[in-house]
This record gives sequence, structure tokens and C-alpha cells, in this order.
Amino acid sequence: MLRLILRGLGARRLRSALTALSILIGVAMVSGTFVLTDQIRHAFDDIFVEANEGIDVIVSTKPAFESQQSPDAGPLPESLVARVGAVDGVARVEGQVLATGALVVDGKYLGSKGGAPSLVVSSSPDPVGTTKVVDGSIPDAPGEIAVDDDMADSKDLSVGQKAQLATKVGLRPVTISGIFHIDAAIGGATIVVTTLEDAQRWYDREGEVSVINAAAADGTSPATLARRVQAVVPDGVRVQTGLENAQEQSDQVGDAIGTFITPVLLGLAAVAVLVGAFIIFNVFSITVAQRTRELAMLRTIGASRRQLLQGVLGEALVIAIVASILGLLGGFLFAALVVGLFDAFGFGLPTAGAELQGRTIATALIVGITVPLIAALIPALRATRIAPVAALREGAVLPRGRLSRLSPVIAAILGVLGVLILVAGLASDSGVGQRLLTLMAGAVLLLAAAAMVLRYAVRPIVRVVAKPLQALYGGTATLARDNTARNPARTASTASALTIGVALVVLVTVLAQGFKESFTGALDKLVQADLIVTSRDFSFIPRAAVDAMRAVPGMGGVAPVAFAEVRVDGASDALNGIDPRSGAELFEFDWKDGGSDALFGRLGRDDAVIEDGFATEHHLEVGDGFTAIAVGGERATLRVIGIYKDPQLFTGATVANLAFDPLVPDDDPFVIVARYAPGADRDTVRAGVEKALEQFPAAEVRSKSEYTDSVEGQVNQLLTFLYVLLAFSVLISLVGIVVTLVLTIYERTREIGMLRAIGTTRPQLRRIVRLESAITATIGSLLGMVVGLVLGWLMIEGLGSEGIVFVVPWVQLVVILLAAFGLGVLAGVFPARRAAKLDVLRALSYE
Amino acid sequence: MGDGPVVVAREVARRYGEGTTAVDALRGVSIDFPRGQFAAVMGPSGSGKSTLMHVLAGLDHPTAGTVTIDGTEITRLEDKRLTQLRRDKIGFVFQFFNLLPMLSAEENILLPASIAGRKIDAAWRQELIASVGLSDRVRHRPSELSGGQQQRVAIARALIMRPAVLFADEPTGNLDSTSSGEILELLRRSVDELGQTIVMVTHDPRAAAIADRVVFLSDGRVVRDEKGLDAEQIFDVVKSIE
Repeated sequence: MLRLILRGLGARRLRSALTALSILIGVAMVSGTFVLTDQIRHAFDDIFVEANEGIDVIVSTKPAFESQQSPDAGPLPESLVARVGAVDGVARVEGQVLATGALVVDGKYLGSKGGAPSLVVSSSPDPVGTTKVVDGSIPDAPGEIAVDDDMADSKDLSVGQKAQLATKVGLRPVTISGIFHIDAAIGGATIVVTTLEDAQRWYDREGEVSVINAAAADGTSPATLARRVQAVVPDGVRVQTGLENAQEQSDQVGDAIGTFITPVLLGLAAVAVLVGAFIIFNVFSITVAQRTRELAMLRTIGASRRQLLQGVLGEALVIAIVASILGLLGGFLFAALVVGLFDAFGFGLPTAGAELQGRTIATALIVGITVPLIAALIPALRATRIAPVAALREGAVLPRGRLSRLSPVIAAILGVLGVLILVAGLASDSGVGQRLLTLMAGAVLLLAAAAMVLRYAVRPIVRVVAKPLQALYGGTATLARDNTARNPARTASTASALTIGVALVVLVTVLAQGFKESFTGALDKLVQADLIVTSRDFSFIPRAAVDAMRAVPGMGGVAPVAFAEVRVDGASDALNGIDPRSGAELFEFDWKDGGSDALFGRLGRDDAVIEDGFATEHHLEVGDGFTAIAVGGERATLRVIGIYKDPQLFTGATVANLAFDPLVPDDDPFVIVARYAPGADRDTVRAGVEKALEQFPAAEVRSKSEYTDSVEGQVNQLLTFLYVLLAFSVLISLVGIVVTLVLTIYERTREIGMLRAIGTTRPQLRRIVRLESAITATIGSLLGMVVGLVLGWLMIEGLGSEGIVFVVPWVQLVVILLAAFGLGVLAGVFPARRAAKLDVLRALSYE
Repeated sequence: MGDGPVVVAREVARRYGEGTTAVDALRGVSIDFPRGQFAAVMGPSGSGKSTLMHVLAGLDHPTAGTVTIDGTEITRLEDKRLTQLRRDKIGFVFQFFNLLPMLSAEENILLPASIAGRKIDAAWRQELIASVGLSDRVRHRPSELSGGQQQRVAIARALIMRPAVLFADEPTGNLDSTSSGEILELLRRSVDELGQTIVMVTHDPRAAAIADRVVFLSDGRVVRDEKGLDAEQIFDVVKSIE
């Protein structure tokens, strides 16, 4: 039987190769996701382990919870350094300040890129950790700094060069005293080393340090030393060994990236695998049907049903194994592609190493082998039901599957189930993640039902789609139309593969469009700002920038907004700190229960106004109290004095500075919104603001429309990223169209011969095949659009509290439709060539 | 259109393969088919009768000699011109009907016109459909028609473009005797009433007997070229050749 299987595969090489390709891509995406995750982890391990090299014990403030948005739990008193130094077994100790800032050289800001931090790190002349100085020396005197060699090389910096450093108190003149080297790839991050005194003075850390590093004396292990140090520090201070600390930081950053990238990539990989499964199912269905006589012949000469089943599944197994192994290796390419994609968007993902871990291999192989087997099972079972007598009949056809009569019923059940799950997801009041997951499950069922029902809709859809083509191409288009409609089940399942990809493309487009519109809408409605200032390096803006802006003549209200992640009832929430006076001038909240902007003026030390979603989540009403815990461990009990609706900008709770500051000592604003004074000349004032903010080069000044444009740009980037990855699923479904057509042409050899004999030219024949391909693709994409729009609408309705509006993206829909048609034509090119190449005589005598 | 022969073959040879394994299917055939004649081509299997038809119809290229259809020499035409010529001047009827299963009888008949992007005069269409006896079957699919009906559709399809010559390859080979008779009678009528030129390859003496002329091939050469033979006489000739 195995020999027969291998011979069969060899004889149907093209079909086998294309089928393998459709599995391979999905497997490569699965394996690539794991490879990439490991590479990123590896890179961060390297970075943090190297950063902590030579440091045995690290002392820092213990965070009240793990926060990705505000990880810094606050400083330690400098006096603690001496106390740690006095512990038995400490060889050397150093207090260190960690801050955010970057150099300005020749008026150019040399900040970080792509979400990585712009770091300022203090160092003593004789640091506890290991610093590899390659030129000059570690900063020793005030105003001296060191930079890393990558930056020095790329920006042409040298020892002795003068520059300016962006600090919380404005630009400070500095001199480069040294250049050091870091082995680990640090992505888009920048590092500037200063003296401890400078860092304390410039970054609001007088008498304070961020961490205390200690090296152990010979004979004292890091763990022992950590225990001893722990005994002398007060509560709320954390003592870790250097390795523990490195591991924790790496985990945190790795998680932050992993929690976004991994599920997205795996989800898209799962879609690709699903599409591949459709192709396998389709290809095997067609081949079994085409081989009816051959299989019946095998039965007449004594092959058992079991052997036929094994034969068909064996073929699927061989293809799946080969495809999985190649796909596993293709994972490296996929990982490289994703890194390249992030690079192209300006996000440098640090990666290191390239290894296939056990779980990568296991997952890829399990997925790559079981999914095709399951997909081939139904065709294989149908093969076993071929009666031996079929071998003797001319034009014997495959018996209809036992389940095929039930397929409308199954489709109906799936559809109803899908809708029920969707409705349940919409109605439930669990968290957004949970609801999204429920919605997704419902979506998959609905998609499956739609694919099953599609076969009944193929004929009418084909008729409509072919209309314009017939007007354009006449008879050939009619033939293409009729070819598409002659086996609706086959056309439907070929098209469905594309439906999945297109549905997701439309879904993300609808969600992104909705988000953009609602974000812009919210900003327009809620914030009466002319200018919006944010940080270039995804950080905070020094508070001093607010005063600098207020001093500009012609400036109206200037409202800084601080932001921190807090815990309320154990859940993570946003806390916004505003200046009530300027806030009242610039913000126009959408108040509930008769609230008004006058509430801003009433915000006191223990008061908060809260967003509607926050109120629902925590069952709060006006007059109720809640307790917020900040990452540094500070807590405050706040009373609700008003509830507003704003699911986009001011989510969570909003308090006045005087309530925010005690909770979060570093109260630098996250964004500053400002307004021109009435009658002021806009251009003059804006130029003045930009001049004033030269002292704070990380601050980026934008008009409201520039700002919304940039937010839309970011959404578009994310969208492009998703499109590129969804393109893989679309690609697989195109492979499916190619292989279906190749098989179909083989089936219709004699017809093609006749068409040629009665005067169909080769170009006409090619066009017939290409149009058939295009029509199939168009059907798939049309259904995909409907499903995508329905899902988009359901999700937006379901997540109504997130404030996204449903907008039908007409332009994109037209583009998608045209693209699907074009890609269909493209997919048809190769099969069309094969059809046109058929020798007329051979085709006619073909049995 | 002149009054000369519609199909002219001069010293046509067709060799398959090369060297020692080469097979000569045709060894220098020269033959004319005048307008309005119903000719049958006969011969034992391997005699080259099918190859001759394929070469005459421009489906196959001769290795030597020339073929002229309705004044056009087709031997050196490239594929595109040849296809157009087939479309405009040649009709085909096959043993296995070769209808498109998803098209109705009428759509199958109109297929050549549809591909050529031509309109067919409604009167001619109706006349043709009536003359093949399918007026009440035009909406049926091939699977809903009997073998004889399917072949009648095929004949109508071959005639719809008013070809200069119709080639029929064993048109009754796949039919019972009643249907065969109907098909032959239909072909005969198209010659008598429409002045159609027909070249029919067959191995059935009764089929050949309906033709005006029977050409006998053997071993790649024309061995007899007779007119007005009846089935019995044809049978004797066939026997004598074998």
C-alpha cells in the first residue's frame, strides 16, 4: 500500500506540491511565532544579564503590582546606600539613578526609536557593574557623560565633543568623556551615562537613588548577601540578586511584547492553518472523485475498504509530514519577516539566537500533521464507499456522502449556535478579553456555516458577478461563468478558503476605521485644544515644560494630563491627573446624571470623577468611594463626585493634581493640551511654543489635526502589519484556487480539446480559465465581506462601551473586491497556461 | 468562394517519431473533395484514416505536402490563424459528442458563435434546430438527452457557422442502429438541402454507403476511390484491402 501511495504522489506531483505548500505556510507561521518569541526573550535575557554583570545584589523599591505602563515604583532614600554598604560581605556599593533623556547634538535630538526607552543611567567613576569602556573614561566630573559605541559610530560622536542633554530641568551642556560598548542588541534604545550627582540634580532625585547595586566580597554568595541586605532595609524595599533582577526585568519586557505579538501571530497562524485545511479537504475531495474508477478497480482486485482509507489518508500523511518539516524550517523565514516588518515600521525588535525549541517542533509537527489528516478524513471515508462495480461504468461518479444530505441541517445548527454564542458574548458582562474570545468562537462557527451554505448561493452569485464580464468578453465569459457554476459545492469550498482571509481583512478594517473615527470624534468633542504635546520617546514630558508653555505670550489654557496605572479592587485601571482650572477651560466631558464641567472645580484631594465603564466595572455611583493603589504602594480612598462617558481618552478615573501627586510622586504629564488665547496670532504663538520647548526636545508639538493624523498613522501601521500577515491566508487560498483549477482542467481535458477544435483560440481558452478563477475569487471575497461586516458590526455593538463606532469602509471594500478579482486572475494564469498548452488531438482522444 | 474543390491535399505525409522507431501514418496522399460532396473515408485500423482527417482539418501538421481549405493553404499557418480558420470554415462531429454538460442543447449549438463573438441570425438558428429535430429539446442539458439527440446537437453545432467543410469522426460509432440511421440521414440531408461538404471517417460500410464517394486507405495510401457503391460492395472492398 505504501508503494502505491508514494507512486500516486509521484504521479500527481504538481497537485501534491501545491497541497504541501498550502500546509507549509501555516506551519511556518506557527513555528515562526515560537521562534520569534524565543529570539526576543533571548535578546532581553542577554540585555539584562549583561546590564547586571558584576552586580551581585540589587536593591529597589518594591512595586505594589507589576505594571507595564508605569513600571517605576519610585526612588529610595540615598541614606540607604551607606546602610547597605555597611552589611557584612559587601565589597562595594553604589547608588544609581535611572531616568529618561537623550542627547541633542547640533540641534538634533538623538532619542530612541520604536517604543524603546531613551535611558539615562548614572555611574560612579568606579562602578559596581562591569562597563566596557572602549575610549576615554567613565564620567567623573560634573557635565561629563559617556555614550555607547553604536550611537557614537552612527552619529559620529567622539571623546571631548560637546553636546546637550535633555533633562527634567531643560537642556544641560555636557561633554563626552567616554565611549562604552554593549554586547547585547538593545533594539532602538539609547543609553547616556552621567555622574550620580548630575543625574540627581537633573532628574529630580536630590537625596534619592533609583537602585542600589552591591558587589559581594570573595566567599560571599549573592544569595547570602541578598538575605543579609534584606534584613537591614525597611519594608517596601526589594532586594534581589543580579540574576534574579535581570530575569525579572527580561520577563516583564518579554511579557509586554509577548502579550501583544504572540497571540496576534498565533491567531493569524491558526487562520492560515484553517485555510490550509480547507484546501486539503478540497483537493482530496476532487482527487477521490476523479479517481473513482481507479479506486473501484482496486476494490475489484481485492483491496479492502480499510486499505482504501489507509491509502488516501496515507497520501495526506506523507504530504503533511513533508510540509510540516519544511514549514518548521520556514519558521525562521517567517520570524525574520516579522522582524523586518517591525523594522520597516520603525520598531526595532531586539532578537538573539535562532533555535528550535522542543515545544516549537512539537507544536508545528502536531498541527501540521493532524490538521491535514482530519481534513482528508471525509474524502477518505467517501473513497471507501465506492462500489467495486463503478470500475466498469463509464463516467461513474462518487456516491454522495452520507452526511451531505444533512449538510443544510448542520449548517443551520452551526449558524444558530454561532449567533447564540455571539449574542451570549455580547450580553455577558465579563471582561473585554473574555468577551472577545467568545465572539471569536461564535465568529468561527458562523464562518463555517456560511461556507457550508455558500454552495446553494454559488449559482445566483456567479450569474451576477459574470454579468459585467460577459458584457466585456462575451462568450468566453459565459463559458467561464458556466464552468464556475457547474459544480457549486467545489466552487463553494474553493471560494470559502478565501472567504476566511477576506472576512478578517474586512473585520480589522472595520474595527480600525471605527477606532479612528471614534478617536477623532472623541478628541474633537471632548478636548477644545489647538495644540497637543506628547513625548517623542513614548515617555513623559518634564513638568517644567508646562510652565515654559504658559509663559509664551498669546497662550491660552495649558492643561497637563498625568497618567498612571493603578489597582482598584485588584483590577488594573487608568488614573488621570488633571489641573482642574485649565481642565475646566479645555475639556468638555460628556457628563451623566446631570453632571457638568463645574465638577472640575470641585475636584478636591479626595475626589474623583469616573468614566462610565469604570463605574460599571466597579459598581460605583456618585457618592460612593473606592480605593486606588499606585505602583509605589501609595493608596488613596477617593469619593465619586461625577460620572462621564469617554471610552477613548479619559478612561478609568480622573482626579485633580493634588490627589494625583501624593499617589504618584513622579507626576510628569503624559500629554499637554493647550489653547491659543482669543485673538492671538496662531502661527506666532505656535512658533513661540516650539521655541520654548526647545529646552525639552522630547516634547513634540502638534496641532489637533496633526495629532489625530499621527494616531491614524499608527493605527494604519498596525493595520498594514495585520494585512501583511493576513496576506498569507489569502495566498494559501489562492494556492487552493490554483490546485483546484489544475485538477478541474485535467478533468475537462476532452472538453478543452473540443473547444479548441471548434475554434477557440489559445488566448480565449486562457481567458476562460482566468475568468473562472477570478469569478471564484470574487465569490469568496464577497462572502468574506458580508461575514467581515457582520462580525465587525457585532463586535463593535458588543464592545459598545469601548466607544468604537461602526462605519462601513466602502472605499476599502471596493478595493478589496477589485484586488480579489485581480488576484483571482493571477491565480488563474498558471492553470490557464496548462489548459492552453494541451495538444488538441491528445485532448480529444483522452480517455 | 470558387467552384474548385473545398479541400485539396497534395502529397501529404505524416510521420510519427524519428529514426528506426518512426511510423509513417500517411505516405503521400493527394486527394480533392469538391464542394457539396459527401465523402466517406474508410480503412482498417492503422490505415491512417484518422490521421488524414486530423491533417485535413488542421488539427495535426503533416510532415510533408500541403493542405488547402477553401482556397487557404493551412499547412504553414500558425496556431492562431489555424484556430480562426477552424472556427470559420470547419465543422466537427466527434464519436463521443463532446458536448459541454453545463450548457443547454441550444447553448451548445451556439457555442462556436459565442466563442467567435458573432450573432447568429435567428431564422437560421431556428431552421437549423428544426432540421436536426430538436425544437422541443433546446432547453435540455446533454445529460437529459439520448445519445442520438446529443449527436444531433453536435451536428447542429458543427453546422451553425455554415462551415466550408464538416469533418465527422466515426459519428455513429457510439450509437445504436436506429440512432445511427437518423444521424446518417441528417448528414445526408445537410448535403442535399444545404449543399454542405462532408468528410466522414468511418469503419462501418452501412454508414459509408450513404456517402457519394468512398475513399479507401491502407497503410497510409489511398488504395481505392469509388463512387456510388452500396454497403455490400463497400464491405467487399474493405475485405479485399484487409
